[in-house]
Amino acid sequence: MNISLRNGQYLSENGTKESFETIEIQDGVIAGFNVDMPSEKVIDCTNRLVLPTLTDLNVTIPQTSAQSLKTELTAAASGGIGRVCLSPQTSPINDTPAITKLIERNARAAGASELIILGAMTKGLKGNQLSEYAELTDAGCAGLSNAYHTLESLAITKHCLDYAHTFNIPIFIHPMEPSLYIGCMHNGAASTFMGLKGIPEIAETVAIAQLCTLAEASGVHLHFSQVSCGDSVSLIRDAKKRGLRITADVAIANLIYTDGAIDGFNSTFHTLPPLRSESDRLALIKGVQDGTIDAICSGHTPCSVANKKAPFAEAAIGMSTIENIYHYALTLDKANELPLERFIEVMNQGASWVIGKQARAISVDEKANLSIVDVEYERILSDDEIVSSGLNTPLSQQHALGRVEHTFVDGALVFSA
Amino acid sequence: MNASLQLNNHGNLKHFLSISGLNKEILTAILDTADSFIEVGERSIRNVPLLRGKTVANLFFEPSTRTRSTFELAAKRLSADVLNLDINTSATSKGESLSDMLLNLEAMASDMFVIRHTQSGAQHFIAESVTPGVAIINAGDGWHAHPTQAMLDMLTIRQKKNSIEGLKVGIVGDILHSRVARSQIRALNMLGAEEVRVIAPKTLLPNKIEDMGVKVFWDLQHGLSDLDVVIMLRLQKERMQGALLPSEGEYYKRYGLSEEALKRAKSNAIVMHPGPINRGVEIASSVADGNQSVILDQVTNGIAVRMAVMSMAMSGQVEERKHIEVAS
Repeated sequence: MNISLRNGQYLSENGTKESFETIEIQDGVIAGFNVDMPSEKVIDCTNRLVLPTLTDLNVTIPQTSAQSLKTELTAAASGGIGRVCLSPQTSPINDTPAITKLIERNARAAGASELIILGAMTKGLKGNQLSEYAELTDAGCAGLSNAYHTLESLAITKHCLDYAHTFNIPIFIHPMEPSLYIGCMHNGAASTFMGLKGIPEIAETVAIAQLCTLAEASGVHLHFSQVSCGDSVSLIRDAKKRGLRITADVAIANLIYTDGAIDGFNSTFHTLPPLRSESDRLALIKGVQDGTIDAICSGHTPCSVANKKAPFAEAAIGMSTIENIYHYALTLDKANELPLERFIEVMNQGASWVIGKQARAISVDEKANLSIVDVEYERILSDDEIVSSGLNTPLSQQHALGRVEHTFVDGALVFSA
Repeated sequence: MNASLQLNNHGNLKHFLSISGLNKEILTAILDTADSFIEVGERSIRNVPLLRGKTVANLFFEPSTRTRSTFELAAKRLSADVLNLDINTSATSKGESLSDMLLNLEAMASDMFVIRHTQSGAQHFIAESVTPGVAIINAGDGWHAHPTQAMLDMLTIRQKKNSIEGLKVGIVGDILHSRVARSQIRALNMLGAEEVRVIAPKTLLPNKIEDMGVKVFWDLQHGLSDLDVVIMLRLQKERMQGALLPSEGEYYKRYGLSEEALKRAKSNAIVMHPGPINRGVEIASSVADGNQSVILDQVTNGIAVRMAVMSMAMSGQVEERKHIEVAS
């Protein structure tokens, strides 16, 4: 189908907003700018921004049935995210090629955003035996991760990194030192007030320091998933200066919220890694600004209402974020904390670089991988609007900014509001 | 803390979950009401009809003898029907969620739940999901709050010192794991104590405790200096297993309240302890039984304070229900 986008602005490859009269999409490929071509469908883009689709490095979708993947990948498309990296924390755990292939088949049938699959670093994510790295990559895994499960010892970690380096497979690690990583929120004033056991910053920074040393010795591409502390940013900045093959991402929740949000035992804000202090939040934003942190991920984790209804420490962990990523991007932009252009750059070029994929570009001869976004749109978000199975968003019944009206993935119009 | 969860639309108590979220007026009203119930305790007929026809369910998800007994006695003196349920925590881990369990308990048509739970915030969660009209009283949640204990301590201090205002109070011991200490700190600051100190080794102090409005002392001698009130906390034996402390012996030498150590405080200082006490671990027997000790007064005051809180929360619920009925 030939589709013509009319009279808007788009974000060019060099990050500038350019006005256009037409963007012609012919058979899924961007055929020309400001030219008239025959089209079956016209999308008016007046006062709209046409933006490249984003790449999300971390999503947890426990159920990988065709229906469940369809729901969450449609939620991603509705948020302007065209590519989603799936954590191996699935049921069953993605630690064998057969499971990878099954997930891939179900994802392809969804006809929504593209799924990038991460395999389990260790069998059953148990942290003590290597899974079949070469076989998993052959089956379609783009990298390996042990999700939120720690490895049994530094010796095992070393073997994982060295074996992955043999096949040049990137390793994604949530930096967690298990003997210190005990608690349900950040260890700070809020945890002290509420009498909840707090996870100290050192539970993350000690792990980062150790892993940097191991990665340097190994030479593998090591990616830190969802760093949460200001001191972690400093450690990664230093490691990058030394020339290590290290990349990192941060979850959107850690750029927006702090541990204070948990006041009153609000289980919506029970996340992993935990929401930390304001100084951590600001240091993370600085890390994104200066390139220490390569990417922002949604950390999207849909949870059922029933599983969130429990005393804080026992309530399900995770936040549903994927479809409102632009709300958060616009919030950071309006607060003058992070310009929208930089946000998109890290979620497009930055994230694509981490997984060794080409970034999305709105230019001639490229397949259409773009979203049409009304950045001025404001509304109170009702639960009926939520596409994801997870209603566990702090934006429920709250003021939400921006709305993705259409998303094209790999040339196909997969979502329209 | 969300104040509206504990207060009705007239600003009166409807649940009693934590000191945080309340105000000086409410705390003072609790103390004044408790004072009036102390007289009831001294009469030959000790019952008052304030909760006649009401059912109070004591739900203890964590073992307790004294707290539960005083709540039971308080409810009976208010003429309520009392239902005691000791709930093995493993019952909830057997698949029944706390919210499912509550639905069952509400079906028993209780008007008030007195709850102790191992999880911080469990009572907040319950208060948010319980049917309107049912009052929740926190009898201790995790490390978070034990507000009736704090209020009976305030009542005891007020009796002995006339006022909380202007006093220097020190809390000695395992602050990290203590819901009692957290509630005491809140109440003391709200009621105008001049200075609140916490005295403990670093391993027993939570991060940023000073943000609660306390001065931190690692040294007992300095910490006790010039105090009007010394509150000792119980030291749990588990603390040695978690490598937070080496031994009871070393702890007692450095942090135990001996007669000698107590001399650092003002000569008319009172000594308190929420109980049960470990003689020779956190406090010398001679101090616990000495003339500065008010430990037994605390126990007596426990009944009056619990009567006060229960009757106030119940009338707050009735008041709110009337308001809703009128509005509709």
